[in-house]
Amino acid sequence: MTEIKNEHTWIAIGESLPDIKNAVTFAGRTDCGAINMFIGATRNHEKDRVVRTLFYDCYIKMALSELQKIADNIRTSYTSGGIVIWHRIGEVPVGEHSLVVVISSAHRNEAFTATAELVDRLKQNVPIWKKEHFEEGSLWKEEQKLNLTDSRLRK
Amino acid sequence: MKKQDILDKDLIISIDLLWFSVLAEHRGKRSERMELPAGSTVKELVNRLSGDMPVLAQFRPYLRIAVNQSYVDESNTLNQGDEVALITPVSGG
Repeated sequence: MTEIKNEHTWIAIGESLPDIKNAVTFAGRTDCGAINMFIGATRNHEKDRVVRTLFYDCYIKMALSELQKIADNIRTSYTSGGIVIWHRIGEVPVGEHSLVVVISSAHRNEAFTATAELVDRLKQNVPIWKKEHFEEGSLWKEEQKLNLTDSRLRK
Repeated sequence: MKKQDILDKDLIISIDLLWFSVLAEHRGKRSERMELPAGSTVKELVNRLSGDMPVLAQFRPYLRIAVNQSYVDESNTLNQGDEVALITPVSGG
């Protein structure tokens, strides 16, 4: 696992993640009345296809720096307390966790909004890629966006 | 070092190119060193790579480029030792 841990943020990327209790403990602050957690997990389907498992590739050095930028920006915008972002890479089987985000704030609305915005920005900018292994074959997410799918899947 | 060697060294830069996801699969490797004329832009690099890599041409409208771990505009000039990554649409989470 590769991580950046400082007073306000704990960012980690690795093939296994720590126990989520540690994330909640880290994010909590005495001046924060809300601690919000989002967990992304591998779903067993994508549209009409059965998903067997997922694989994540990552440009780790850049992903850590992009996540730090996002976390710093969110902290300033929403006066958040502590922020935890953990992303799993490699294979993440159905039902297991790929992403853990925990944010504390003085009040719940800030924590909800900050979490949603952080996850949106992660999905837009952080260099991590998902490959879905279906029963018919395997495809990277960006291949599906470009409809480069037909030649890669068994009918 | 002869005078001509110094001049040649000044005209060529080498960069470290990183490949990920679908592009790494097509390229068959995750990194390589590449030599370019000094003063080359990111756009010139991507054009050159797209020429012999059809999948890159397909992703071109959606491609972002990172130099030394930050997204850059394609008009940026590359420098000796830069780490360059071609970023297809990301899908973390």
